[in-house]
Amino acid sequence: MAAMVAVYSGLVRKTTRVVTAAVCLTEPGTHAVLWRRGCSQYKQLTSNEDLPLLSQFVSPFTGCIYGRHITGLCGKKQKEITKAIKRAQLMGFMPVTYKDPAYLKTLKYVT
Amino acid sequence: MPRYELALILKAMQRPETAAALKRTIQALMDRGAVVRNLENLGERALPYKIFTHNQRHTRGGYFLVDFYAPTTTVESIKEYLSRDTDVIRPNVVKHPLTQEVKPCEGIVPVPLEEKLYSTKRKKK
Repeated sequence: MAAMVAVYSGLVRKTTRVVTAAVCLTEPGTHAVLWRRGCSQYKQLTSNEDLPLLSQFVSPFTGCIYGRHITGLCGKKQKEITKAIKRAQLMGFMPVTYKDPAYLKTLKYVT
Repeated sequence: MPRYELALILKAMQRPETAAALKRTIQALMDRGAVVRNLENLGERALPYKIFTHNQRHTRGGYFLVDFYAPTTTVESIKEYLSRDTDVIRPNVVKHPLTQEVKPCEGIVPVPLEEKLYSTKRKKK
């Protein structure tokens, strides 16, 4: 992996720095997990009221839903949360392209 | 038991007009045989994104929650009626969240990887 990256960065001279910087963030073998929590904490998900909870799983810059390797949730709960986020976005409760600025600073584990 | 929940987003209007629109909606619900249980007002706030409906561009809306019991056959006609109403920006009929069962989640179950190390297939000789 590192050898391939070196070859590639040698070929493309303009974007050399960008490529090596992107690779340095996550090395193969260790995956970056932003936070881990037990699944049993989340009992019920309502799209209307649990907006601060659902906003935690959305990126503040792009509004993408974080994947399983970042949230650390089990299969069932990840699916439930994804469905609830998509439902809230469609129904007009949650913004799609960005994270609601009111919930930018909720770092507590909201149950 | 609360069966359906209507997440209604109405156009940002003056108070008497909003009241008239709500009255009209609930009257339509009751005409189709629904029993309205509760009406909640979540306030008037800015929409998360600009919504275009009925040849109009909306940035603000009044959010209302109506939970009601309704026969299963009339849900479609309710949705069709609400889509035709000009004052309604976005209607959504959902099954009421409190009626959903809550199953306890066991979390990520660790899988014994040693058994999967060697294949259990018998090689033909």
